[in-house]
Amino acid sequence: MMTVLLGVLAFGVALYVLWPLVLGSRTFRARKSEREELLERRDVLLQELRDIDVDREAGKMDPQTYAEVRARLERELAEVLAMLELQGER
Amino acid sequence: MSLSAAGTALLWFTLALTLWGVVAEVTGILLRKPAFRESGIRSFFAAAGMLTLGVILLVTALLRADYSIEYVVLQVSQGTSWPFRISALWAGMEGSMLFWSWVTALYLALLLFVTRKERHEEFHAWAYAVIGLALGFFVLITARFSNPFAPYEGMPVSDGRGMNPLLLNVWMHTHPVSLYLGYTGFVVPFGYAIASLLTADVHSRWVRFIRMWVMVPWVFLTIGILFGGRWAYLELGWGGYWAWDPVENASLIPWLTATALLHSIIVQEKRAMLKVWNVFLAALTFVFALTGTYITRSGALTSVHAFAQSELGPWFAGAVWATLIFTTGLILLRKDALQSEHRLHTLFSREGFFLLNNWVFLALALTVAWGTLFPMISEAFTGHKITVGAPFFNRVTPPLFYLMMFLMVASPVISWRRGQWRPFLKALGPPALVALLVAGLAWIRGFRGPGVFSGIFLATWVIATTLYEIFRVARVRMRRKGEGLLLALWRVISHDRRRYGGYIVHMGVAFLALGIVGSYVFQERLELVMKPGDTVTFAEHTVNLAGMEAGRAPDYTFHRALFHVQNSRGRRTLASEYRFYPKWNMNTSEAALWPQLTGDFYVVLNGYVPETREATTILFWNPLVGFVWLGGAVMILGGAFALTRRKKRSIGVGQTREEVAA
Repeated sequence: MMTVLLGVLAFGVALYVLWPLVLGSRTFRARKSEREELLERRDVLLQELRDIDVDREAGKMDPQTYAEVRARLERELAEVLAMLELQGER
Repeated sequence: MSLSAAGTALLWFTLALTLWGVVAEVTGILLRKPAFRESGIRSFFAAAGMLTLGVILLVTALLRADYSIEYVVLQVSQGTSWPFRISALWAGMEGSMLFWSWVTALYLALLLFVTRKERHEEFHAWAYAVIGLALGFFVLITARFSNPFAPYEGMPVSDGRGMNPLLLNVWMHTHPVSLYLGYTGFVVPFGYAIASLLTADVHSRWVRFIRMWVMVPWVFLTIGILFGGRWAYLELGWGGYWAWDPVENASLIPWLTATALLHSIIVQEKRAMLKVWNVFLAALTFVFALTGTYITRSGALTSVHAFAQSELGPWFAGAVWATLIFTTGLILLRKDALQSEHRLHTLFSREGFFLLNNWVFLALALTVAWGTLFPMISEAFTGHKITVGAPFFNRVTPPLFYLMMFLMVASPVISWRRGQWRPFLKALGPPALVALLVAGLAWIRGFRGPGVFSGIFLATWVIATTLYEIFRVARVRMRRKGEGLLLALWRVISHDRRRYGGYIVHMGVAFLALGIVGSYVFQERLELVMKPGDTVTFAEHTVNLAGMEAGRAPDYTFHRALFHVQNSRGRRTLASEYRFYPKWNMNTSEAALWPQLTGDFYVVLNGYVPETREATTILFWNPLVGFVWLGGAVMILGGAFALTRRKKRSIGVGQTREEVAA
């Protein structure tokens, strides 16, 4: 009885594993969209902007470094937003 | 077909599935055949299912005391209660290897599920293949060398030997599980480190992806270490919780490198630096986890915690060397892509301090590894095992731990890129005064000595600086948003759970340090022979041996001593047992505790002669030991908090612009 059960199980599992090869044309679900990645990046940049604001106000960052970093982050954020707009996702 | 044959067949079938998974994934990547990749993924899911079935079969055999299987004979007696029959799954080497493989397979299945929308990417596919290969290694070891389903080939028996008496403790249900969940989980960051090298995608993406997959096993490993310490404290009857034993060290070493990795991935995320370092740390953590398994399971080193002797040593050593050589080769191959995108301007910056903290963690890990593996190293060169023992670790590690504590004080308050001296000192000054006051008061209360003063000062400084830093940020929020203090504090902490979860962990480490300083440096111990009715005064406690009882349990006989303990604050009755397990020809002691705010009063019956009614008794006073458990609990809470996620607000693109404009 145990032998039969194991045989059936092994056959079922082998069928499940090899089925994509039998079908051949099976493809993966669509990749995470570029838009999702851009939105993620936008959120990260916004968080970084908030962080440096707090660092600045808490006196942890000198004005020159703050200005440099903020300019860089804003530039990158603008690029991300422009790409989002290009996608017509507004 | 017997249960033994069915279980064995299941293991070999799982090995075939795992290896097919690896081959199919790699073929799918190289030939760009999605069908192979899909087959490989299904294969890994099926392997997880088969191992689950294997675990169910073995647990069923243990619960039913099926003595046709050798592992059951060795681990379960008729007197073993059902919770311990389940825990017998990880009580011996063979069951542990099955459990290890199963947990690794579950991590892989979870990863496949979490990344289901991104499976098409080579980056993930290589990681699946690498993790699958590691899983295959463990399944091979289990099936070929450590089969828990091996049949019992002696004369049929009606009762088994039962597990090692030292394992018959409530912590047996949780400590090994959490430890294994920690060890095995580090296979995921390792898989992604290798995948990032193979795909030459060594930018910050892989570290962003793995941070949760480092944090989860880190939390489990922390729980495992803490529970292990508590277990040793209660079960081994020596009044301590950490003895620098090889198996204890084996869990601490990957914990140290994983902690370093948790810090250094932040630097790569924020500053695109330390790329080689992160790959190296991810690989090293996995290698140390492998080494830990090797030490625990091979019997290569003598330990109170190593319950297995086996011939697995060369296999694990081979796996460790193969991992190191392969990773190093890949790093050299990708050395151009691994260049940092930013330069370290000065060590006096947050990234500089993070780098220092990484060096300290690595130095600690290598020091502990050196001391732990020294018996093997010395045997290889001289033919004699030389053990360095606790004095080596107690002498070498404290300066590094002190430096680590200082960096926990300084890192959160310094800014990225280039630190500013004035704000830096302003942030550290007031907490330093508080710490000085506490360390001074402790000195007055008798906690004296340069090392003790420094330890208490640094630990308090960590706590005070962390609280002050949170308060300073909350004050900024109060000014900007007009919020009350409590609301601002909550918003600050809950908005960046990863960062503030880390700060909570820092405070936990500080509490732990206070407990270690108190309980190790100021522990008092008295060993004496008492007879019923005798009274002794020790560490401001009066101890009276009120009586002795004898009894029998299914697997052991015992003598129980009842102690009436009294101090100026109250009175307790403590019962400590001295047990004898005939099947093992082994005695154990069950300690009894009176936990108090200032320390634990700990009593252990360490021998009894019924003829003369002499009870060998050891008394301990462990000051501040409660801080060890409190600190551990705070660390775990902090780690768990860092893993939680704030409910995301939906931000439209338009809103984004407004925020930027603001």
